[in-house]
Amino acid sequence: MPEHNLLFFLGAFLFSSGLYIVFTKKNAIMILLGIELMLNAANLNLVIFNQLTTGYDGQFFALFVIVVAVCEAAVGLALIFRIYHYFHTSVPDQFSDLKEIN
Amino acid sequence: MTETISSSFSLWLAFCVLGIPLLSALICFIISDKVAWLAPLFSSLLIMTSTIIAIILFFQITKTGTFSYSWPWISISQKTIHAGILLDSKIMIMVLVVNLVSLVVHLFSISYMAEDNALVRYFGMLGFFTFAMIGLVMSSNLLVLFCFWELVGFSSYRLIGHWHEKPEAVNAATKAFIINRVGDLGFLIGLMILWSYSSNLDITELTPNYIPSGWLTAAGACIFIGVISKSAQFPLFNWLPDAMEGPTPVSALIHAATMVAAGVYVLIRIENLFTTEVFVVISIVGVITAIAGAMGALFQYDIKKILAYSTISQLGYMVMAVGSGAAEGGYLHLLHHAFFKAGLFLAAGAIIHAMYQSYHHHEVKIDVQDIRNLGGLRKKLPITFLSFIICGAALAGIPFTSGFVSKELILTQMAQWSGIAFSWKWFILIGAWMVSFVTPIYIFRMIWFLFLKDAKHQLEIIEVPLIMRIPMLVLSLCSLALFVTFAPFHISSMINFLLATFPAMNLSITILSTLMVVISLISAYFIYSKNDLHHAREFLFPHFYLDWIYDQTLIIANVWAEFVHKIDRKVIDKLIHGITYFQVTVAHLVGWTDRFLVDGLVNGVAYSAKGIGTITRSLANGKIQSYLLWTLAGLLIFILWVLS
Repeated sequence: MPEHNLLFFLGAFLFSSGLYIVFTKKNAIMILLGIELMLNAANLNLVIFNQLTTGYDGQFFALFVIVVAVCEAAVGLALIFRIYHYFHTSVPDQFSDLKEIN
Repeated sequence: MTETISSSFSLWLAFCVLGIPLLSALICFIISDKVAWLAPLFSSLLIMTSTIIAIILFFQITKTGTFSYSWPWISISQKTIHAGILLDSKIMIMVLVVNLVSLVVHLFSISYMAEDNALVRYFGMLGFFTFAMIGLVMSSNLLVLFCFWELVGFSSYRLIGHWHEKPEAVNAATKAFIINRVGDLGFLIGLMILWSYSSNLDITELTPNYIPSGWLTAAGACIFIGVISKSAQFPLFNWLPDAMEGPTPVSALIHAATMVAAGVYVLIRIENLFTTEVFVVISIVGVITAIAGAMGALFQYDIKKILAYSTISQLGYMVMAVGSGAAEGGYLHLLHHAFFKAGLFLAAGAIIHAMYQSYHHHEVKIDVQDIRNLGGLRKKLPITFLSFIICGAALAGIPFTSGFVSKELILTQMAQWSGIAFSWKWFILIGAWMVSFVTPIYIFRMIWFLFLKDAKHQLEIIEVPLIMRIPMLVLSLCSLALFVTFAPFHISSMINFLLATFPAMNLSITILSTLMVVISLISAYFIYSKNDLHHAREFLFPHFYLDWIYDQTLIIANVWAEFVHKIDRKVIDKLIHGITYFQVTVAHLVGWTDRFLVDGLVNGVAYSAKGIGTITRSLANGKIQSYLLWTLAGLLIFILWVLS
């Protein structure tokens, strides 16, 4: 159990780091990296919970998450590319079209 | 069954009479400028058709009696205003007069306006005016009548300003329009008072029974203000001489024969609503206008301005007659006046036209409307001379003309009204006789200057074309007593048929008025034949000391004017200033309250709303990461709330 506790802390640390990166980093690519980190933390948790129970549900689910994460990274990168093409920057602070223009 | 057929026949005819002039106006507004030369022809033809239909309708109405038709127009909380037409022989004769005068003016204009470059607009507005005037005469409801009253004023405005290149014409049009607005306001207030007390504006159903007499007087006075402005009565008559800036046929149709008579017509239509006090006001205003107009006509030099002042005087005469219990006489005079004054105006138009052509041909630049520049036209314009003499005689009230008959009726009825005992009514009566004395003098003056006196400039003048001569002759014919009554010295026959009651003829009044006209004409002859143009003063009259009297009158008038001026400066201006200061102070107080209390409250609410808005808005700053942060915060709060 203690080693499991340690792994849980690792997952929590990874998730917090990802969240921190998402909130603080300026570049959109770094934000994407943060998201990947959070996904990996979730994956880690899935694998750990699989260890505590019988069967392989958690591990398979982790595999699915990895596949989805790849797709998500591809779509995210494509989006960032388009944004860069449109705004000539990939820093989210420099475009605020969602804000009402006044 | 036959009754319904004949009544629907009357209705159709009435709509035709009303609609054909409107059709003429509409066609004029839609045709292109390329075929503008067609406009005079077909609008004249349409008006002619309408006149013929009006004649048929006239005989139909005299056969079937009063005809009325109405339909609901506006409904407000169970109170309905009906729009409708009311026709009896008295109204029909007015419709006929409007149509006939409009027709001859259309014909006259074909030649008079031939060189104008806005023919379409001119004839369109003439047709529109005819439509509005006939609607005014026919309508049985005061509100509908008011609408037509406004339309008539509008077309008058457009036609006065027809030559809008001339600034004088534009100013005159604006002046006429604005002065008429004052009266229209009065008219509308009067209608509101009537409506609020009787909930009915139908002329035949309006009775003074349910209305308190104070309010009835107020309503009558307010409607009379409308009449004052429309019929150019004493305080508001100054727009009419200015309105002579318009084309002369327009002056003949609108500012002499029909529109200005609309006020008198309305007075006669709603006569039963007026209280005694209102009648007093009406007769006093009328007599002042009649005398002032006659005096104005005596001293003017512009041929059209003389006729304008004469119109003012005659309108005052009619209003005075209505106010002094001679409404029938006033109405008859209105109809006669329409013919002979339109005839005089058309003759003046013919003179202006002929002189303009001649001067233009010889390249002389003189004011063709100044009677001092004219003269000796008797031989050169014989037809114009003839019609001017006949119409002028009718205006002066010479026996065997229509003017004599109506003047006779007015004076007889007024004599009955004033009674034997001396009262203020005698002053009105004396005023009426004075006007009858002055009128022949100024009309003689015109004829003398225009036709009898030798010309100042010897120029070749060509008689006006046939299309201008026929209208003048038609109107002259209508001004003859033979046309209106078969017994020129007796008030009967034709009038008998028009009026319900007519007074017995008073021989002494007939003899007296005839004598008066003769004396007046003889004295006028002596004034103007002895006095040739070398004298600067044009009203020299040494034998009778009239000169001195006029001087004294002028001096008194000057003193009076000074006095009035002083009162105006010292009292009225001070009063107005005081009121103004008071108003400004009150306004400041109100302004302060408004700024600090009312505005403060409103601004406070607005500021707080804005503050809340700013706080809320700062969350939505367009940055993805801050959105995410706030989402996370929300999620955390939710989780904590769920867990606890």
